[in-house]
Amino acid sequence: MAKLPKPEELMAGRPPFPAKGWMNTKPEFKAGNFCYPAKVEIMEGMHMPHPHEWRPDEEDWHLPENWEEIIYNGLKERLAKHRSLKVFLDSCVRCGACADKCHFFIGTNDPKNMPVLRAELLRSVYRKDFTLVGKLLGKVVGARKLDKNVIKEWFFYAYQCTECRRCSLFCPYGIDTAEITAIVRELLYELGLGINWVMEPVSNCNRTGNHIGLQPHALKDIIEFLCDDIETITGIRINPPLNEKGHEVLFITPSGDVFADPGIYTFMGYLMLFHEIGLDYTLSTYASEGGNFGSFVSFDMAKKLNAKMYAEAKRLGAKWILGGECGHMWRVVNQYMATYNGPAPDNMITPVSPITGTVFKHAAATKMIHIAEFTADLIKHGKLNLKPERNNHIITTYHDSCNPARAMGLLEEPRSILRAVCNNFVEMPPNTIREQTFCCGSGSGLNTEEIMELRLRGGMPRGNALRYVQQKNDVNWLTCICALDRAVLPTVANYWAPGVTVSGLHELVANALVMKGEIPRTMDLRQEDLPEPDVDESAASGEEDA
Amino acid sequence: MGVVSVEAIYAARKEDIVQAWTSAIFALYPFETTGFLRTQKDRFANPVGHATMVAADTLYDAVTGRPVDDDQVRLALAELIRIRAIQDLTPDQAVGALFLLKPAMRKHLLTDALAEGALEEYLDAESRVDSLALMAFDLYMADKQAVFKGRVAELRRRYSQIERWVAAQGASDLFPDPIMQAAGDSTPDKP
Repeated sequence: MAKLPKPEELMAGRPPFPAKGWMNTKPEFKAGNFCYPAKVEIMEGMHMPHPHEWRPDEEDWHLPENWEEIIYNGLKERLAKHRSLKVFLDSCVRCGACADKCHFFIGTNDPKNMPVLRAELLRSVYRKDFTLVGKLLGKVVGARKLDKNVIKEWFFYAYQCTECRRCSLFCPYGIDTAEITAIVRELLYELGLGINWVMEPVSNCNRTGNHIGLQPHALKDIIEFLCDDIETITGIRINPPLNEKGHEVLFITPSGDVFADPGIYTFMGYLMLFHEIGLDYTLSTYASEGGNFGSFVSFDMAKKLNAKMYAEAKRLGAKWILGGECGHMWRVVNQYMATYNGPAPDNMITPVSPITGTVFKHAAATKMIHIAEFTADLIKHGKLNLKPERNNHIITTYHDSCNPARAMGLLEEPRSILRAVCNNFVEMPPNTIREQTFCCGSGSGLNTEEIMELRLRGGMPRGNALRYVQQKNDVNWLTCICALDRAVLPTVANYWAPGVTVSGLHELVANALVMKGEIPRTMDLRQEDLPEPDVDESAASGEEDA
Repeated sequence: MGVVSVEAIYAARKEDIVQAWTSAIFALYPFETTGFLRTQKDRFANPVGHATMVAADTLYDAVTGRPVDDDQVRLALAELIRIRAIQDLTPDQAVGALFLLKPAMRKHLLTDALAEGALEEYLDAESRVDSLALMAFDLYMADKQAVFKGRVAELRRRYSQIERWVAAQGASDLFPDPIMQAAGDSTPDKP
């Protein structure tokens, strides 16, 4: 028997000075804070090492017997292969510049989500086994022995990093914590520890060409549905070529644009734009996925999935590849594709816009450009007839999707497009956009719903900046150029800034695009009434005549 | 007993009490994080700290009986609870942060309020903390509801065209109605 505690006692805040340091503080796995493990049959199907049944919230993870040897050899191999990893592990001076820059740290306030400490989870093991000073002095120099709890800790925190690289922007040494996270995830996969939300799309992509495993006939049907919708809105029938040889351009976008709201409106936007300018292009069912969840598994898996793009461009004889609005796809394309699967097939050339003649020399190696670059160039040369007033009911802000912004510097093109197609564009505060943009909180394969609260914590800094402009500038729209953003930001916005709609850039482009032969528009791409419908000039002049 | 002088005491002690209160809230977080929450003043770099401090400032005025705009009080509280509802805190920690105001008030106010013979006013102030806690409980539940609705709505968005395709094949019964209806109701019902 004891007295009932008072509230301040009941809530049990931590002691003023905790007795345990970070090395001895263990993560607590409970429903909602971890992703579901990958299914055994999927791991087997992808020939992953050590597929096995396990649960993060159970004590025994059923690791292979020689798990320590696997990790040791795995790390050794990667240190030899990636010079960058060794530099990142050796050069950190723990200055703390990155500590408070991570959206997961800001949202969870968990010290192990400080990028410096998250990296230290691997670095401490590296120090013990791979540095002389660590071998000799151990804990004194921050080295620790690998044990099963370390593996659990790796899993817990490697999946609370979206590999967005905001932290690396602030690191005076340029240490890329995302690459450390990627290596930790690779090592976990060596032990058969992976997550289903990543592995199932990888498997689907490998087998049928896209994340959801949509087969060619279904993909074709759905594209036709969307063309029906375009016809309803514009009166124009579009029949996009599919798997056709001999076209100049192969267009590849994330498959989410085809089957998920609100990405479909962006997809309709692409088709309308291509139709209007008469682009000679084809879609592909084989390469029907721009996204590359393989990049969240290992470099080898990323390479395997990425190979489809060139293979299809070669098979179809396309001269260059136009890529849709996607995030991590562009990290892979811009940073890794040329060395993964390059050089590009002989039939390919440096992308050149058939409409403006602009040569995209920066893509000479990959032969692949982002649609924001393509459209910005069209607009700059005055090739599109636009009515931005059709978007007058929209006050939009722009979310720099991490990978296009930080991994390829795509900052001005989307903005120039947005200004051309929308009369009301407001920026979020400077320390939340451009290179300093905050992640959606669900990138790198964390967009699964079993960790929704964790995702909302990670999305808090973005949601907070969005709410600020919503309150200050009446912003009611958030535009982005990443399919994953389009999937998850509606949820983030609904929680942190309810009332803000999320869309891709080309949805707004197509709203504003005046197409030759179209009927007067009365609705937007979502088939919602336009507040200011187009004036039917033929009807108006007819009345005057009468 | 002068009401004016009690108000003067409340005003004079505000800074100390608000600081003690927010410090107690920040101390619920891990040791390595508490200092960051307290000292980083940029509202975009530290939304948790910012929302907590803004809420504490507004809510103190409400508790001590100054005339306040109901909507503003509710908004400040909502911003605080919206964060705490998803921060992996137990429900008592999420909502109970408000009760941490009481020890601070007793330490900094009670003696002087008694000296002024203003016990009743002081007790009223403490009761208003309870009112805030009740409001916070409502907000907390609404936030949790929003999370659950968000999960379902996201699933539905994710497969919107698959659903359409399945319907075109004449197999709509693969998507059970109640779930779809629940998912369809994604209207935000928060302030």
